[in-house]
This record gives sequence, C-alpha cells and structure tokens, in this order.
Amino acid sequence: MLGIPFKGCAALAWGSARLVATDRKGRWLVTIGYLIAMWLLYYLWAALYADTPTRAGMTFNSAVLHVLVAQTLLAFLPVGTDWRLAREIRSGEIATQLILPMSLPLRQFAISLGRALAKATYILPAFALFLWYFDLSLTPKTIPLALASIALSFVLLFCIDFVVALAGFIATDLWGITASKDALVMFLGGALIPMAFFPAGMREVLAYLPFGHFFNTPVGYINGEIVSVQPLLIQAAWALGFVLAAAWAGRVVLRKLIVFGA
Amino acid sequence: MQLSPFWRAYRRMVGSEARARLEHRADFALMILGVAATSLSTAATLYFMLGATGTIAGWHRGELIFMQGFMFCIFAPQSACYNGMFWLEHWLKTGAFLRFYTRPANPLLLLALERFHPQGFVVLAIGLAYCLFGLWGSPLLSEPLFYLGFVLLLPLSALVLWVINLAAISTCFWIGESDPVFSMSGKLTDMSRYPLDLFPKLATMIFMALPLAGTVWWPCQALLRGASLPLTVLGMAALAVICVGLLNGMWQRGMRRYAGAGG
Amino acid sequence: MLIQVENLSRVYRTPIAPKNWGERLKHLLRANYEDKLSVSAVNFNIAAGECVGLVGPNGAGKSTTIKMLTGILEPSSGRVLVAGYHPQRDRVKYVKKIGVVFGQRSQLWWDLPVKDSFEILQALFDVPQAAFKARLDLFRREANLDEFYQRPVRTLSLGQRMLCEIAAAFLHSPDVVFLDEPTIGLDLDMKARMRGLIRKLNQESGTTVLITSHDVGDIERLTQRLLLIDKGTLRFDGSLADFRSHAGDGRWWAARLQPDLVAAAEIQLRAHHSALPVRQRGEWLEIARHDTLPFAELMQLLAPYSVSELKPVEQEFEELLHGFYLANQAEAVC
Repeated sequence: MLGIPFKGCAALAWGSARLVATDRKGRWLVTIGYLIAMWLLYYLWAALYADTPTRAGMTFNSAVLHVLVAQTLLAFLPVGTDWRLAREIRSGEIATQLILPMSLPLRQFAISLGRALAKATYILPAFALFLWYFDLSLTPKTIPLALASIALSFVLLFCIDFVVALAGFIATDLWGITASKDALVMFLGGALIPMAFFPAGMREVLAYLPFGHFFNTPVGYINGEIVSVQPLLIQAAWALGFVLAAAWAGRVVLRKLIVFGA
Repeated sequence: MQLSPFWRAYRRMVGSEARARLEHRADFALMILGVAATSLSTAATLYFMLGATGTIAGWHRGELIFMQGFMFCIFAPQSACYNGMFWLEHWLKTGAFLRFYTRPANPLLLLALERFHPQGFVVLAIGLAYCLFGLWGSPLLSEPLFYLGFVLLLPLSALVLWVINLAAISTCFWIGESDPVFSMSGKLTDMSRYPLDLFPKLATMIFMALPLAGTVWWPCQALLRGASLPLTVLGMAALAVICVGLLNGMWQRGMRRYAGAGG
Repeated sequence: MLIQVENLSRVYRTPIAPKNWGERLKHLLRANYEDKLSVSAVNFNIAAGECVGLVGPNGAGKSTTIKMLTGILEPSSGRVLVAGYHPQRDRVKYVKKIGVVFGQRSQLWWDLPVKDSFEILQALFDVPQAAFKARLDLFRREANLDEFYQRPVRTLSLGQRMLCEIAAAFLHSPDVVFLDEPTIGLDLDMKARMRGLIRKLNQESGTTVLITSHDVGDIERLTQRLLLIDKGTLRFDGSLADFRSHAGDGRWWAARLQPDLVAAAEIQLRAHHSALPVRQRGEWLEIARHDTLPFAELMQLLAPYSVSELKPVEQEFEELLHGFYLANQAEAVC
C-alpha cells in the first residue's frame, strides 16, 4: 500500500523506543522535572484566579486543564527531530541513511514516532497521577477524534522539525532557527496559555494559520471543549500540506546535496 | 596596566570570535531572530495571561515584566561568555576535554576561553528594555539608589544563575548525559522568574535551597519591594561566593573522575 | 634527568555489575569494586633532548602513563618528576613547560582561523613576540603553514589540522613534548611532513620528545630509545639497536615443517624457551635468532617435526615488535 515499508518502519520505531526506554536515569529525571513543572504551573494559575472566577471567558478548571494538557503533549510529542537530524547532517552520518532502501523523511518519522510513544509510556502515567492528586478529570466528548487530533499534531510537529533540520545544510549554527521555531510553535500553538487569552484580533488572524493545530486543537478535543469534527478536518488538511511541503523540501535539499557533494 | 596572560588570551579570543560570528551574516541574523522570538513570546505569554486585571496575587504586570527582564539580563553574561558550556558533554565524549588539563589556568576560566558569542549583547539589550518597560512611569526610575542596587545585584545574580546552569550541565562528568538534568533545572529556572510567594511553601523552600531564589526573587525584593539593599547585596555576595566555590569543587572532583575513567 | 619516573602505578576501580536482585539491593547500599592495575611499578628516566618512543599493544598502559606524566591523572603510587615539577600538584606552572598532543583530539578553536588560535595560545602561555615569530617562521618553512594559516580550523583536512596541533604543542618552546598517536589516520606525505617537523624541533631546539605510536615508522624514524610497555609493566628500556638484538638480532630462522606438526613444534619451542619470539606462517615456523638458543640446539628441537627446508629471514622492526608482543602473550599464558 503506497509502497510504504511498514515492517521496516515498525522495526525502526521499536528500536528507537527501546533506546529511550533503556535510559532509565534520564527517564526518571525527565518525569520528575515534568511533574515539578506541572505542580508549579498549577499554583501559578491558581494564584492568577485567586481574586477572579473567570478570565478570558474561562474558569480556573478549564484554563488550568488546558495548560496542563498542553504541557503534557509538549512533554512527549516533540522529540528533538530537528537537533538529531541536524547533527546527523553536520557529522556526515546522513550519508549512511541515504544508502538505505527507505526514504529519509519516512525513516526519520519512524524513529521520531518510536521516541514519542516511548516517552508517552512514562509521561502519561505521571499525568494520570497528577490529575488524581489534584482531583482533576478530563472529559473528552469523542475519544477517537481526540486521539486522531493528537496524531495529526505529531505529524505537524515532525514536519516542521524536519524542515528546520534541513537548514543544517545551510547554516553553521542552528540555535537561532530552532529557538524561533520552538517559541512560535509553543506560543502561537497555545501550549503556554489558552488561545482564548489572546486579543480578539490576533485570534482572528491565527484562525487562518496552522499554529493553533499544534496544541490548541488536540487540547480542545481532550478537554471536551471541541465536539465538532470540522477543526479536525482543517487540522488534517494542514497536516497534508505540511507533509507535502516537507517531502518537497527534503527532495530539493537532498538533490543539492548529491549534486554539490557537500 | 599589563594584563595577566589569561586575560590577554581572553581578549584576543573575544575579538576573534566576534569577528568570526559576525562574518556569517545569515547565522547572526537567525541568532537575533531566535533571541527575539524566545524573549517576545515569554513576555507576551505573561502579558496576555494577566489579562485585563493586570495583577497576580498582589504583583502588578509591570513588576512581573521587570522580573522577566531581570532574568534576561542575568542570562546575558553566560549567553555571551559561557556559550561553550553546552559543548561540555560532547568534549567529554570525544576526549577533546583533555585540553582543559594542559592549559595554564583554572578550568572554569578556560571554559570561558572556549567561545564568545555577541548574542549576549542582544539578550542584555532586550532584558534592559523589558526592565525599563515594566517600570515605566514608576517612581523607582527616578531613585539613584535603585540604579545602584540594580548595578550591584545584577552581576551577583548572574553568577548564581551561571553556577546553577553550569552545575546542571556538569552532571555529565558523572552521568554521561546531562540533558535530562538540564531540562529539569531549566523548568525550575523558568518558574523562578515569577514571585515565589505564588507557590506552596515546599516549592519556595526548594527554590531557596537550589538556590534559584538568588536569581530573581531576592534581588527583586530589594529592588521592587523595599527589602534592605545593603543586606541583600551582602547576602547575595556571600551566596555568589559560596556558589562559585561549590562549583569549583564540583569541577575538580569531576575532572579527577573523568581523567580516571578511561584507559 | 628531565623526566624521573619511580615505581609508578595506577589502579582503576570499576564497579562490579550485580548479577541478581539480592546483589542489586546490596549494590544500592554499598557497591563492590574491582581493582585493575593499569600501570604497575614502572621506572625510567629521560634526559633532556632525548626523543623516546613509548610502545606497546592496545590496553598496555601507554595512555595511562602519558596521562600521569602530563598531570591529567594522579598516580595511585610512585613518583613522577618532570623538569623539577610534580605534574598534578604544580599543574598550572607545570603545563607551561610541556606541550601535549593527543591524536585526533583538538586543542585549537574550531571556528577560528589557525592564526587566531595560535595568537590566543601565545597570550595564554605568555610567549614573547620574538620567540613566537621565530617559531612561526620555523613552522612556515618546515610544514608549509602558510597554505592554511588564515583558514578556520574546521575547514582543514585531518593532516593539516594535525600539523597545526603539533605546531601548537611546540609554540611556547616547552622543555618536553608528549605526543600520543600524532600520525593516526594520516597519509604518507603528511606523515613524512609531521615526522620532519618533530625531528627538526627535537634536534634543533633540543626539546625532549616522548611519543607513543602504533606506527613503527614513527618510532624507527624519530626515536633513539624505546620504552616497551605491556600489561602495565615496562618490558624493555633501551636503544633501538639493543631491542633488535634483544628480540633476536633482527634475523630469524624460518623452518618449513610438516603442516600438521607446526602447531606442536611451536608449543615445544615455547615450553623450552618461554621468552623466545616464535610464530607460525602457513607451513613455516619462524623463530627469532637468539644467543641463548644455539643453532645446533634449535635443529635438535625441530628434528621430530620433519624439517624439509630452513632459511634465514630478515625481520622488519614491526615484525620484531610483533614477535615481542606475542612472546609476552605466550609468557602470560604459560
């Protein structure tokens, strides 16, 4: 089907997931760091709502759940594809990937997917523990739509990371471009504060852009703020656009790489 | 006055690095874009979060923006002078770190000799702009003592933040990969830009022990909330000295361990 | 003596991995360690101006020795004194007197031109301008430094970079230079240039050089004296000529035996003379010529193995060294 080597992809994803899983010390540290950050965020938002029951039309519960769910997605969906691929490009390791019988973006996608799933296996239980401790609960109206939206969010994040990593062929220092990308995706994507807190004009402009689909849309489905299928379809359309753009950028850059022998 | 050999070497390295960085104009532009995007999104998050009321538990928008700006200002020195610290793990893995043993100076100074990045000036400018924006119209801006306190506390806080970040990275002497530690301490550092009295007692105690309270909270108590400036300066000076001493000890142990780890 | 090494030893402690849950729990409270002697009671002295090769198989303890001599690693016991300094205790003063190159580990600034890296090192090591200029002129003549002097280090080929590393190690006119695998990965031309540069600096400036290398060409062409270390112990200390006679006289006997008896013959010879370098090469058994094993006795020993042909063979230095390592391995097995 579509010529995608599913067996190979599954093997790669499983391999990279196991790599993440073997780093036991790192896994504990990341989970503890995540829980501490969530704990502090909870109190920060509680303080914000201490003297007012609603802000930007949201109650404390809906706002804090939005931020906590978004932070959780942020903890396992982005898996550093940009840095990893950029390092492979800089070190020349990429050459060994190009001679494999699998396209570069697909191979990277499988590796990233494995990492994200492995991270989810220890972040999600920590999240469940957190919700239980603070007596919070998620109320998705349709679980399949929520899951589909999370998957599409992963695709969007992967594509933007992949394109940014290709800049490794051009720029000598990648910090600037990755930091700009992270700031844009997190801030405009609704990972730091709910988009309802943005001024009306800004929200109107953002409605025509893909950023909201990185975090705001999946969080909306998970929290039951969104019921309709329409935002998911728009998210899927953006994801398709991003995939085509990433594939095109990959082809152009690799062709240059082969021609110039960089 | 004749500079000591290390500082002469440092001056040469700074000149040369600044030239090399500015030669790659695209890189430099991207770097400024990165600094601007990161700082703008952080400030805008805070601005929008506070909404129409503009306060959080008795802290005003201006004060909170000043605190964010103060954090940028104290991050600027390490962004410029200790940019090389993010390479520590790589140097340890490749063995390039051995040069730290064969150069005639303290290894923590030698780390500064590795790299200089002019982006620190951009971070400082943005930080100062935020501080000014936060306090615009406040009577504090017309008090000479405020400026004196700012100038005295800024380098001390910068030292404390540098020690915390470098100590987190230096755990790679022991555990190989310091990324998870750095990401954990980064999350705590992020939150220490907010007034610590928003958080539960346990969190405040953690912030004081680490001692992240020495980055923004204690200095801002003196600068914004009338805590005794001389006492704060003295306390911060003592804290900075202790922190640097501990970091130096950590490096000496780390370097002994590293040298003894291979064949 | 410029370098004095007395009873130098280094022990590595490695934690023993727990095998079951009981041991794992115990490990949490108190880890068990295994001590491994990496360098064992090594003694040698090196006079000023000597160029000495430190050789031995992988894992022999060469790098550990160099690390202790350069002050990177503290000896577990014994004493090192170089140019009157205690390398670890007097680190900052001491490193001004030495130059160090660890193969493929750079000490230059990656993004800066070679020129700028050298000028930073000049300031750091406090090299007077006249001396700096004289050294640079020498590097220009001997290593064609001008070809790449203005280029950032990251754009240099491995060979060019290694030439710069060597130059950087000699930049502050140190009393002694330690070179750990300086020619690893280099092509023939670059190796020749590198050796020329090191020889020149050793002979003209009188800099003492201690070099470790697996490339016997480096040792043969550069050094007058050999320190052979194996399993942490100093096995040989003497001139190259001495070594040739010690490991046989550089000429070996090759005996063609009945093919199925070669292995048995080797065992018999080793049992008779444990330190004798012997090795198999197809149906030939090669034996180092040695005063302690006269020809008649050798023939007597080989007689039961159907010798069909016997000829003297010239041995390269590399083969002598290989034979020496093999003999040590056999000794350890015995």
